[in-house]
Amino acid sequence: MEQLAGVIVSWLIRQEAIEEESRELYEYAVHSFFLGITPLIYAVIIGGLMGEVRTSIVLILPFMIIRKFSGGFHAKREWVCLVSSCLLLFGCIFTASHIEHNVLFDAIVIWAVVSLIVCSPIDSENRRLEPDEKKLRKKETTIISLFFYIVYIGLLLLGKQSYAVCIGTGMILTAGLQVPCIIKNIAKKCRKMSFHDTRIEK
Amino acid sequence: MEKTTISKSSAKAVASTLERMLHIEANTSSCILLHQPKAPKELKQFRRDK
Repeated sequence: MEQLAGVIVSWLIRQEAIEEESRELYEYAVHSFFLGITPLIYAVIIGGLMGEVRTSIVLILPFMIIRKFSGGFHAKREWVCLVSSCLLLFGCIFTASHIEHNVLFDAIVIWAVVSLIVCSPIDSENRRLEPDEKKLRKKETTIISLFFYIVYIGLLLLGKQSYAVCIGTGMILTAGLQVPCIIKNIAKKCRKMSFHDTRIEK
Repeated sequence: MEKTTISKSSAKAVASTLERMLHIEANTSSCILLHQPKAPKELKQFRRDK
């Protein structure tokens, strides 16, 4: 991916569309562009192989939109990301196409919405957010999560349970991918507190 | 001559799309997929609320 970004940006510089000083910026843009459209491509391919293209697209849409603002777990290596994304998506499409809507699923969706509102945004090492950015992203995540929850309820009321389950699964996936980061942050805070207590005792 | 013109206008279109991408990245939290590339410091200039 990095080599491809380098080739594209070199071509843009040769065509005088951008300056040499902006190389790093535009390489990041190319990288982000491909990482941005990849989930949709995966969803169509994996969904197509499973005969569940509509399910996969309806599932991936809330995931793509909410995660862009809420953040979550990121793998350190790109190949780990690509493999685990495929497996996760396959698992979610399989689950969404085989489970029936019930009270337990409703409860998990409500947990996902609350978790997204309370815990977002979660930034990563490679893209740190400033305090004012965090406030804004939190507001945006709240609005978008509530919007998709309303869509979920609306679809249930209209009798479109299968689509509602897809939307719900997408939201659960987004919230679920924040859990490793939440656990890491809690563990960090506990370690800091016990270190602080040890120093006071001494 | 025509090839150069087409090449230059394609490059401008691609650069414009990538600039749009930078605006999106600067005003959102992170990448969608499970990998976040290192964001350059210059990305801040694309924020809506500087």
